Amino acid sequence: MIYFFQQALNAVQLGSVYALIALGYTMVYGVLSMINFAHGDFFMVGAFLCFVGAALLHLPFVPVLLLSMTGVTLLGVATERIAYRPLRNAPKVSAIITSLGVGIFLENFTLGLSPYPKYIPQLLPSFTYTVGGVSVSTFQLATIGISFLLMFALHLIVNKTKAGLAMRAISADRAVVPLMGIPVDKIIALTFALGSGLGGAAGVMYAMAYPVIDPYIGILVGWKAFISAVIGGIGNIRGAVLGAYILGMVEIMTAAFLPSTYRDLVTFSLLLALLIYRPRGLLGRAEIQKV
Amino acid sequence: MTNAEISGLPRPGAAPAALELINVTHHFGGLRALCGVNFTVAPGELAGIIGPNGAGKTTVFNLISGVYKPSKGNILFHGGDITGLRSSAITERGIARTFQNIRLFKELTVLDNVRAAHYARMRVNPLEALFHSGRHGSEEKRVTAESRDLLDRFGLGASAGELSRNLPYGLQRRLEILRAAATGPSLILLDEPAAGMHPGEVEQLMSFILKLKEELSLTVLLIEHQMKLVMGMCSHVVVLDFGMVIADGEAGQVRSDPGVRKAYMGSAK
Amino acid sequence: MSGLIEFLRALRPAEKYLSARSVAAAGFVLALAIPRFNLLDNYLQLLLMLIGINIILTLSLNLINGYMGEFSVGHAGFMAAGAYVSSILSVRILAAHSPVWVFPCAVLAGGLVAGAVGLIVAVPSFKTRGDYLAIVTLAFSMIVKSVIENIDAVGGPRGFLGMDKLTNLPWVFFWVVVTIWITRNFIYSRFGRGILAVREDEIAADLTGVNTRNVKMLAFVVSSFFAGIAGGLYAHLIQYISPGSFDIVKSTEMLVMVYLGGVGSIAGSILGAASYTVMLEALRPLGIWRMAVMPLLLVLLMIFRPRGIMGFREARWLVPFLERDGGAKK
Repeated sequence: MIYFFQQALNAVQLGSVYALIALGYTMVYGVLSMINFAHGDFFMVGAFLCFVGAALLHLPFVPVLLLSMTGVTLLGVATERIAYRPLRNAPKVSAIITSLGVGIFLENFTLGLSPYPKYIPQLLPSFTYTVGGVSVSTFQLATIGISFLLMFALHLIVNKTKAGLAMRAISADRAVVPLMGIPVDKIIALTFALGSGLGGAAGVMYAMAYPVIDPYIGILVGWKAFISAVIGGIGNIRGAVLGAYILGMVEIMTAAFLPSTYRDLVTFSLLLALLIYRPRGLLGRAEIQKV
Repeated sequence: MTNAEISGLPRPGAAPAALELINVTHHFGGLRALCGVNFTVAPGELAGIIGPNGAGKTTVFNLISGVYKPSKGNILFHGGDITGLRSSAITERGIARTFQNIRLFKELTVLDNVRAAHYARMRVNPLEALFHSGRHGSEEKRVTAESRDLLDRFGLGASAGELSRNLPYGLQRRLEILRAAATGPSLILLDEPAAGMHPGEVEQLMSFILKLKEELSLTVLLIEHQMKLVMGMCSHVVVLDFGMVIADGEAGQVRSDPGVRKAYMGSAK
Repeated sequence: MSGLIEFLRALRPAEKYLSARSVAAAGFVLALAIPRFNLLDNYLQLLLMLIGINIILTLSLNLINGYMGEFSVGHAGFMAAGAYVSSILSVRILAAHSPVWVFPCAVLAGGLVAGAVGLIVAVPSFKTRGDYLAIVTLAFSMIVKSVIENIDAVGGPRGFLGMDKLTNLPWVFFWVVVTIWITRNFIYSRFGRGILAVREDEIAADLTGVNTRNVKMLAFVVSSFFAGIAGGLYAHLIQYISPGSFDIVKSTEMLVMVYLGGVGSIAGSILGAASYTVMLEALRPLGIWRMAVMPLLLVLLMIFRPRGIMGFREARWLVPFLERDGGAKK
């Protein structure tokens, strides 16, 4: 039983990282109806900025976190401006392919800069507390605590500010929003900024937990986060968080009780099954076909 | 079985109606779009459905053509139950339709729009198609000739090679009707064929529809807003309001129905 | 790349004398002669074979993404199925027997298995479209990769080798011709018009009697069959395959070739595959950075020429005689 609780704690930690990334996918989908396949690589850039801050500049934890979040925010906004905005009225497929291209570009560009995996030095003093037989490390506490804090901040921005209202309006009906004087371009840029910033934070959390990073970490982790967003119903913010914790649980428990190489197999099969039986996700609404 | 359902069934000995809706009800989530709709269309008839916006006219078409499954009730086509069949299967049985907003295959030529509609009636299996066997060739020739003939007879022959999105609006409407006709239907459903046309064009369209109906011996059911077209062409008019049939009968009779005047003519004069 | 385009442009005036048959016959003679008399050095022969394999892959993906307008980003999965099945057959079972007919049978079997896998992927496409179908296909290719990684008998993540170098220029050319021929036949047929109708408007297609499920299944089977063939040829050319050879980067390469050459065009697929393969070789001096150029190119293409060089246009000699001029000739 203690083993189970220990694994559940790990699942919450993993789920938190997924949730931060999944929010980026889902928010962009909400306002643009576009899957930003490059988002996983934004996360990867966040992890590399963590390396830059911690190993090269020898900064402490909080400045490193801020550096990653700011850097990835700028990256996200720039990508939107340069690569996605020209395609806003193009067929959806063009935008999807572009985002795939941006992602692979980021991977290979990073690979060009850093051909060998990088090791992240320890950012926080490592303590382990034992509560009722379950051990909790400072990393886990920091990851879970900061994720909750960031998600709460996002919740406030989306639900309590004017910009958040505009964001929700765009996601409900993009066609009429400009008629109401909402600056669509700015709100979309803001959405990218928020989503990317969370992705950058996730990069730091991930790098603390798995300190050896390479340019391809964004592919698999990004996909897992994306699956979380789909499980919850893409475009739905609460759904993304829910999906992330479900997925974290499924993955950790699969790895705990089955050979660990089955983890991806189970995850992707789960995704396929879900897409076939409930294509709009757990919290997504079914669309009525208009003829 | 309710009385409505029993009275809707064909009497023994009588020829079955071309189309018969029996107590058809449809909900979208909690929203009731149609409630117990009954009406029949006789073979060879030209019938019209009218009603204010949101009365459920297009929903009726969507149910007949299999886009939605009715929540309740049955739809019979020449006596056979077609309720809940897949759209392509319903088309195969002989019901074709057009759309309120034109839905052509825009990047295909006019000819290919019509040829694509022959899909269900072509006897070519996948292997014959992939290896372009003899039967593929003869079927292609037949379908091409028939499509060309249809386009020639109904005034679109000259534009056969053009992309359909480049046609002027009026011709796009006609092409969509011809595409429906090319599926080999006995009943054709026209969803606001004259929408967005000026009076002169409406005249031409009316004779186009009548010619098509005569030459291909079709039964026609159309939805229309323009009273002139409905009253001028349709022998039989069904009036819908709030998802219910409020009148059903000959055009003149319906026009003078006080309920109809109140619900519909009142606003349209 | 520019040299190639120049060359093709120079062929323009001669195009009216071309027929698909004469091009195929001349090409086949060349394909036999080049290795026989060593007309080109080994490197150029390898390059030609890679171009051929890429043409097959591009046509395969174009069928789904260009002609049917669905969106697959997991075609590497089909390729993997074909590569592994044909390699296992040729190494484990057939190698002991007569080697002459072993190879085509193995490749064909790989294609058939890939085709069967394609049938499974077609099922979700009944309900989902666009970006959701993209996820399904990608998840599918990840599953294929993951399954292979978990089968120790085929080397798991370490990969599989032991195939003889059986792929040669004549065989590649043969399969390229077969792929072009079958794809063309498919497009200009009852079912081909069906998939075009699905691309233009799926609901309208259904309501004009096109059995959209059947045409989608057929398109996926044909497409994945050829991706499997390409996989088999690739495996017996490089003589080593691993789950990593068929990852998302491979699928993206195929997308680049389709959208470079032109969606919905056979000539465009040939052009896209050839120019991309040559360009990638030309960029070899850039080392690691080479792989950063490819995605950048894709992004630029999407922004400035989203339908590719030949988008929706076809070289006249590839169109069946009856269909020339859009079938408008009497």
